[in-house]
Amino acid sequence: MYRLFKSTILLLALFSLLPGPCQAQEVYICVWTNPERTMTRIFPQARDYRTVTKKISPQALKTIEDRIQSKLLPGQRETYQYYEMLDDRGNHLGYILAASQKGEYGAIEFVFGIGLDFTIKGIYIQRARERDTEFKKPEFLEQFIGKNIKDADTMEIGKDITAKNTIGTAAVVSGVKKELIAFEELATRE
Amino acid sequence: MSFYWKMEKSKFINSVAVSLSLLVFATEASATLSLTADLDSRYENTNFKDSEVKVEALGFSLKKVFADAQGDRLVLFTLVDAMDNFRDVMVDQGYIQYKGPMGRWNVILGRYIVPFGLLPNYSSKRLLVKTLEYETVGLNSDSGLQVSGVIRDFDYAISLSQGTGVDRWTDIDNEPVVSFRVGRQGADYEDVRVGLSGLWGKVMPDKIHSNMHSPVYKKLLAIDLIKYHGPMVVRAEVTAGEENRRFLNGVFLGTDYAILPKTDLNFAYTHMETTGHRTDAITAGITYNVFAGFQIRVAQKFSLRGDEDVSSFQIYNIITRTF
Repeated sequence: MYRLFKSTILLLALFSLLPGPCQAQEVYICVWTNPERTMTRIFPQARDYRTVTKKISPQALKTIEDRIQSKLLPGQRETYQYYEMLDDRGNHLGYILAASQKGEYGAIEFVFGIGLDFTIKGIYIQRARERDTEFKKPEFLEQFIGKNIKDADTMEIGKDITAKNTIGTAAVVSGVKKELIAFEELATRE
Repeated sequence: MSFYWKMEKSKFINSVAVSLSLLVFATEASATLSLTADLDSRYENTNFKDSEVKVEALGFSLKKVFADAQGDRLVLFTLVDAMDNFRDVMVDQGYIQYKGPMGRWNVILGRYIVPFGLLPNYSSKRLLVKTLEYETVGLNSDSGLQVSGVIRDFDYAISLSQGTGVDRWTDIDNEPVVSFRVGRQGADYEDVRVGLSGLWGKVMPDKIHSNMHSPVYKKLLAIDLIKYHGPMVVRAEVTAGEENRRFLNGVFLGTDYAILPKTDLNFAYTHMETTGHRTDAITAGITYNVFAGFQIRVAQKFSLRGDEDVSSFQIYNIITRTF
């Protein structure tokens, strides 16, 4: 029994020391089941999609964190994933970005699509446990539609987004901003 | 423990090695690889008398997605579990999935989660508050062929499998198990997710989760439901049918409520009636998220019909890395 206890503690310690992303309630990787359901709403003409994973170099990480003026969350610092939406000939129609941002009661997960002109086409909340309801109101979410990747640096509640400043709305705004900046740095420049 | 571990260690290493070679060495220009490892350690006390400290599970999973010019096409997934102080090492899931356009259809070959009840959307394997699949279906995953997909708000899955669960890769008597599930989930995450499922055939219950060691004939229908509402999630499943031609019914009603930013309250009521035996239980628990990927849970199961009361304490850790 003592050996078992020792092994367990050792394993636990080992697991706890390992850095990087984890998938659980408090981890900021978007746990997206059945992505097709949302993808077809944002890009009804899409025939298929391709998952793209980009490694984040230390230099790119610094640039992204300088631009968003905060650290990326655990689970988002090593790789960046997005989806290319394709037509029946394999041509690009746009991109889907799945985001997970820290709310008051765990992660707020949401998904949005950008066209080839890099403007937002649609946004959907995927999962949240918040008591606050402001962030899921259509009048708040619809303000992101038409925003361009170039608007990311100045995106802020009270400036170009009109909403009650709650933990939920702030999380969605900073999540969209972070995803757009990361996409610009990693997908359009590299 | 050392005897079992020595015996099972080679199985575990072999399983992991096979999985790795399948997934890592199958190189492709456009591919995404995810690795996950999790550790579930528990203290359990039964009827406030017998207690046990154990490693409930050490899991290791790999997922690799391959894409062609038209999009994501092939998914390879494997999950190897070392359960119950490493006594049982098993490939919990291991399959190849060929993905059709926009996931409208997928063909899955190998060992996968059976499309029945809450299982495709919710797994309580690493939780203290348990759903009823091991008592209704008798297993969680099975080897066979599945066709599934998503069309607008609807999803479907139909499976033809062996009914041997995680204990055997080969069939016993060529009597298949047919299962299906059709579900609906709206665009809004707070819309009700509802499903209707059925299962027919001869099932050999997983030995680690069941006292039954002989095959049983099942004929089951189930309705499942998941509803998110603010800080609360409600999950329910009602199953009815036959087990060896005797009436079977089961009810699971569970809820998680985020009471504090890092703390959830967990409640569940379970009812199970099969072959003349009836059990009813209430489980109450607390989940505390210490930090990303590290959770502590406590739970108390109260049996309402004189069966075992179980107190549990769990430390759970999970890590994932994408390449």
